[in-house]
Amino acid sequence: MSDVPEPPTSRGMDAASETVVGTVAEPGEGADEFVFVAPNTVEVRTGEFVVYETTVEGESRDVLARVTNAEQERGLPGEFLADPGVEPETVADALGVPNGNVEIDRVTARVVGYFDAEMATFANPRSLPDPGSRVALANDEFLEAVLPAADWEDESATAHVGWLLNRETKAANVFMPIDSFAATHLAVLASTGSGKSYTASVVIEEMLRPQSRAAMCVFDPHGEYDTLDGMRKDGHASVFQDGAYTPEVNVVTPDEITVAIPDLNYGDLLSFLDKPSDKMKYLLQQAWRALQRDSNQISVRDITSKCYEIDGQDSDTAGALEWRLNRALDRDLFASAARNDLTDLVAPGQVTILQLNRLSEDDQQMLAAALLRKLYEARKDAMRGDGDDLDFPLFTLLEEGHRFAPDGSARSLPILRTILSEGRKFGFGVGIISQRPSKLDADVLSQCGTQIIMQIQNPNDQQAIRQSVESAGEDVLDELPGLTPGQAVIAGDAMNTPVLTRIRERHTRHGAESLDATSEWRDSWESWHAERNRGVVDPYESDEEVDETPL
Amino acid sequence: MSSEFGHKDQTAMTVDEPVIGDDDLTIASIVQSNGQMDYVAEVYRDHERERVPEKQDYEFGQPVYAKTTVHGEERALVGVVYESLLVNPDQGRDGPRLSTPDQELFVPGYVDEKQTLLGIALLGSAELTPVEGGQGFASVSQELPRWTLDIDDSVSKLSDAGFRRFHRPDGQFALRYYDRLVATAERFGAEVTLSLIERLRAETEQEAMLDVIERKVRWETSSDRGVIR
Repeated sequence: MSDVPEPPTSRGMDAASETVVGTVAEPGEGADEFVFVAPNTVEVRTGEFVVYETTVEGESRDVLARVTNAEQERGLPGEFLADPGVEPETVADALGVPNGNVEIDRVTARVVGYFDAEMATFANPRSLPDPGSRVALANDEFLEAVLPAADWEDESATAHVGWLLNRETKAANVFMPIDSFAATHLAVLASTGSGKSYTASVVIEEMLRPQSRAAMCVFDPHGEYDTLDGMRKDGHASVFQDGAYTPEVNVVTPDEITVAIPDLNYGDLLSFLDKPSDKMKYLLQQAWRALQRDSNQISVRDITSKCYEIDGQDSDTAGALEWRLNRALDRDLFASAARNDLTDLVAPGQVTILQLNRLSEDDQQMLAAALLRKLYEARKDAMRGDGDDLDFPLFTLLEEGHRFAPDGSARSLPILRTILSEGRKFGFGVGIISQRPSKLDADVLSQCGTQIIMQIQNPNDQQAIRQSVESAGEDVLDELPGLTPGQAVIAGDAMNTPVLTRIRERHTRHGAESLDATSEWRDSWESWHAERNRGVVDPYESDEEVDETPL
Repeated sequence: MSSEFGHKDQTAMTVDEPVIGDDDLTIASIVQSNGQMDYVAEVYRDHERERVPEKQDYEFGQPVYAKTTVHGEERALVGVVYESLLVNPDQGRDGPRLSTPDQELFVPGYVDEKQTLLGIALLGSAELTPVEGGQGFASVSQELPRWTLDIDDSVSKLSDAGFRRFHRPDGQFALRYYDRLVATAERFGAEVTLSLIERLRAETEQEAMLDVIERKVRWETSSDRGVIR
């Protein structure tokens, strides 16, 4: 797949398509709901966008509404369906019941609003259509242009994430304005197997296309994202390359990952230690402060010798600290030198994938905490003009977000909370990917301004979304259990109204396929069987006497 | 499934097949109508016809036809016996009576004036086309017939072939008069439909569909009459 759709350039097209689907019958139950009657020859499914015309303050407006429910108003009677072997239409035909097009549907729709060009968003007309008004399907191009909260007139890049679910494949593209979700954070929420990491990869691909060239960093606890280096292949040149630009994909494997001790803070350090006494804490704090002041290269040895220096060479407290520090930090994971140049790690047009799959959960959190803190400080400095280490905005994506920002406590939670609440000012965006929204910290979840929500059946997780995601109205939540993998509701800051989307195919190969258990078993059995035949004689085939003593 | 619903019913008739013959038994003549599709016919009695109909010839649910001429073309209006009425002018009199008050003579009772009246509901119409051995049905319609019969028009028994042909107006099995028949026959609308279905079972291979229709009719009747609520 290499055809990349062009985003719209304006919103000046007609709202209504030529397909008239029904006639307004009456107001609905809710204040902004109305009911229209539609012949069932035209499929009007839940989530579909329709348009009616109304007059607002003397001006004629095309108002967009979303279908929330469709039920049959009139159909063939149950008696015609008495025998599954007899088609009800045949019975109807035989009895002279007008056939074909006899079924009509009552469709409920909720008003989204008319598009207000000045506000660049939907405005509610505060009135319902008159009974008798015609309802038409919304125009594909119109939806494409007005659903994303994007400013088409400026040059801002948009991410093409897929197509409207209710329309024919590829009929209406769904774009997300990258600036919007990169600044106000993104949440990708879905139960396992519904395509979270796939969707996240689509977003990464879009952000690294020549039109945006993002600086990204991905925390990848399962090693699923390395296939993104396919972006550099020639086959995808038309999508990802532009002149001298080709996206960089920097996969940091588990054995390359180190945590610089100077990047830790006193709290981190303390949390490594096994039940330190108050005296030890005090001593460590003194030593740590002194060291941080002096240098940005700190080894375990530096800390312990500083402790001895402060507390005396024969200090028992220093000795106990030494033992504890060695036990905690004397591992390959820790490096003494601070990371000098953050641009190794993040740079425009580059995605750095930190494969954390061999680290313990605790280490993953610590690494995330240290790194995010470092990056955040650098961004703050750059914004204040104190440093130009990271003089470009940054977007970081956390797969299995509930590990890093759990509902409870984790080393990485405080910094994530800080970045999510203040990062917007410093051009530091975060994307949280999680299959358990209920296990995510509620503050973290509610700070994610844009949500891509896929199939979620667990009631706790639905509840978490209901409580934390402002834009998720009831009609959006109702959709969640019925979505199939690859289908998503995109809502929040990036969209003017929630949109049911079929996520596009990835350009690069997907790296998180489920294991094919049966074929793995078959293969294992084959090799195991061959091994047995080669080596050991089957004990049951020998003529030796079998020991029949009961076990 | 397609063979069951398809056009190729084994009993499907060709247009050329004779469905009306000269020797069709005429059973009654029209004496009155109660509406566009609701006629009253008087059953022929002894001496009125060479072959006099017997009880089984005008039983409840008997398909019948009457010929009429419209625009110079001969058509058959197809109907069904849905009601009967026995008329006896002697009813209520006990014993012999005098012919007139001034002639005190005993006269015989009006034996010959006893009648059997049939209620006949029209179901549809067909054009008659001459074929070898009689007349065939063409352009069968199960719509409400637009033309009336006349007083004294003869009503004849419809042959099995005619009955089959009438129920396949456009090659497909159809019972499109059902709602009109039920409205006309009122009390026995369901029963007359069921008796037609019974006949159709013998004439067509639409068992499954007839089952569905029969169940529908029975259910509706039972709920209309308050058996099922």
